Amino acid sequence: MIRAIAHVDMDAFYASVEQRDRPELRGLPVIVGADPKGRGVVSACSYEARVFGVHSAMPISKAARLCPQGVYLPVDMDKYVRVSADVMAILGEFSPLVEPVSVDEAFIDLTGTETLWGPPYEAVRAIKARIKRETGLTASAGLAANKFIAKVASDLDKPDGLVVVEPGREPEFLAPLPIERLWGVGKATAKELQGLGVATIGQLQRIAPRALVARLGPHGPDLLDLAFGRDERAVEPFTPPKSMGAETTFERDCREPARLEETLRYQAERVARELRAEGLAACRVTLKLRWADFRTLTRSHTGDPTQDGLEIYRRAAVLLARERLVQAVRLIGVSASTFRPQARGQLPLLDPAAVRREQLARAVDRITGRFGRSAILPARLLGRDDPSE
Amino acid sequence: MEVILDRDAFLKGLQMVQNVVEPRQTLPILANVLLETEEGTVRLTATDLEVGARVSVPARVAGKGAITVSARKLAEIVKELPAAAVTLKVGDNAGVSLRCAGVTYKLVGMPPDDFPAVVPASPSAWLTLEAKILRDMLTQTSFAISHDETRYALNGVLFSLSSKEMRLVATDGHRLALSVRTLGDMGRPITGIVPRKAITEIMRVLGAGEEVQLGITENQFVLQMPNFVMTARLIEGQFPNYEAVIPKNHPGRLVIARAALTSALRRVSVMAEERNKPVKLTLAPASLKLAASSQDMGEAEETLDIDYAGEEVSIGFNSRYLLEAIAPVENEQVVLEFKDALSPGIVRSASEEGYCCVIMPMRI
Repeated sequence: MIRAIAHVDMDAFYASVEQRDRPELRGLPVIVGADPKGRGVVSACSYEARVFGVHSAMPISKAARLCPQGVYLPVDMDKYVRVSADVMAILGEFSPLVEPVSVDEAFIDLTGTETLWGPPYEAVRAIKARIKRETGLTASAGLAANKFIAKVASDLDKPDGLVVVEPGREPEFLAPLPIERLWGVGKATAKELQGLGVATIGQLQRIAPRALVARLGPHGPDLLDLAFGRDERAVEPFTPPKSMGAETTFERDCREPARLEETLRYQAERVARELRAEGLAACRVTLKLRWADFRTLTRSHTGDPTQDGLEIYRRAAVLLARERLVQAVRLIGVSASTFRPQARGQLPLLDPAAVRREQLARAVDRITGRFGRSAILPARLLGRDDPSE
Repeated sequence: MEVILDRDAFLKGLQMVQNVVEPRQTLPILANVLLETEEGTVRLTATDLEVGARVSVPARVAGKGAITVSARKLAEIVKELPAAAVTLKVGDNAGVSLRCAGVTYKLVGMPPDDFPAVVPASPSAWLTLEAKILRDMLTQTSFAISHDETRYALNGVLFSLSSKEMRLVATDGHRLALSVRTLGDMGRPITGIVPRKAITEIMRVLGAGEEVQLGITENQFVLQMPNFVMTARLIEGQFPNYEAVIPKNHPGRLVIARAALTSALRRVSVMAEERNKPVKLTLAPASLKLAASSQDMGEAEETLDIDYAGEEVSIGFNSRYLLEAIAPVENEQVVLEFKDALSPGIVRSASEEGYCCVIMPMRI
């Protein structure tokens, strides 16, 4: 069966939301992200800012140099999540098979919806129009027979674009594109492929599969499938998360153990809150450190499933205490993975307060859900800026 | 240095120290065993800087001296030798030749100078006890030692010596095992957490019938037997307040045949989910029902007739914890004490006072 899959990608999402809400910013280079005097990154930028060479994930300090006249705004995630929910709700009206990829993009499987919405092309146009009418924002879309092609297509005519790739024409659609467009081709693979004289997907299509295996190992055939636009993956309405984490880049590299611990404490609460919201407990706690020279290390511990911020912090702090702070720390983070359903399994013997902390956490979750995150905090974090937000 | 040893005595000595050597160590010399001549003996010493063991093996000393050689290789060699006299001689450049019957080995040794000294501390008092008692007490506790590296203080057995008794305690945060014996007077009370590795080694070297002496100082545990001494650096850290964890006056109490409970647990837990092997115990007047199930496999259930007249109560336990708690009980009857599904249960022996294991339930 030939499928009809669309990838819908909001245009310069965070920046567009800000420009929508503050008309005086329209037409100006708007850059959403960390403090431009600090050391975080650009989360999103308007098309006006892109003219200056600014792009997302760029160090904010570089953006500030490239575009000193830009309007720099902090990330207002709560607002973007609300707008995102509106967009996803619109998609949900067109098909039950909607797979959000992130806050600003999603796949939607429109196979078999012709009797409701007409040809898929018309359905995507209707989706774009609904999004524009109801949120005031534009989205770009790609429509194809699979997820990979749809995703590549949505990116080719931004903003407010719609690119359709007819089934069977995937190879010729991909041929002129650079190999970096293929999923899984990073710097290393690209270099390997350039060694074979391959710079575009079309050139890759003409490479003998055996030569590819020799160069890239078992990864080779998968890459060839993608190069010809073959991708069987289904649109998964809900993919359970595999890990939940929080990270903080310090304004200045940090050498103080107390400050590192405090940051972890905050992050652990945040991760625990997320776990509880999903009804999960995690067995594995991973500490991530990035040193001043950008080398990164991770250390993990696997133990009893937990969704308790204090316990997640305790484990992460032990992992941290084992590392010699040979350099200052640029970034610290903690994540939780290997999930189990909550409220099952072994109860703790030595921590009689654990069950009470569980009840406390639920009460705290209800309070913060109503009055905001800073309404109630562990005492240790009182009077501090939230370093993980 | 030149010594002549009896092969069997040499092997026994090596086996008493060689496990202290860590397979992977930071200093190359720690892979070696130190051999030193003394009056009529050779002293073998091994250490990983945390735990040290030293044994004296009778020998004819033809030339005094000291040398270190690979502990693993030496034990491997001596194990294969015939039961005859072994001549060990140190040549130039720390080369070691070893002859026995018609066999000759040449080993590359290392000079003894860099070998870290194993220095037993001198405790203010020694406790003398039968090896069997110490072995029993360790059997009753060591299974509960934690393997969680983030809970360092739990990675060993707490020795708590007082004027009237010795208490050993181990816990992994899910269960806690306690063994108590009334022994000789130690003077002032003293405690120390002895690391798991030392516990394993002590249990391995403890023979039957011997007497052992043990002592604890500020930072070291020392165990002495004739011709043998082991030292272990105590684990720094606060052992939990174990007495607060042991429930008192649980309303429910059940006496049951150890063998019947053990085999029922084994049978039922076959169907328990793999990771924690949860088994649900339901007590009702005159019956104990054990039940386990796993989503993929199916379920099992067994009912035992028991002498119980209290209220009906259901508690889930990790069946492995129950089996390990029951195993060290020598009496044919075990006692289970319990309250409700969220409170810890206690396993005891029906006759001996000196042992109990507290197990926290599982939510099933």
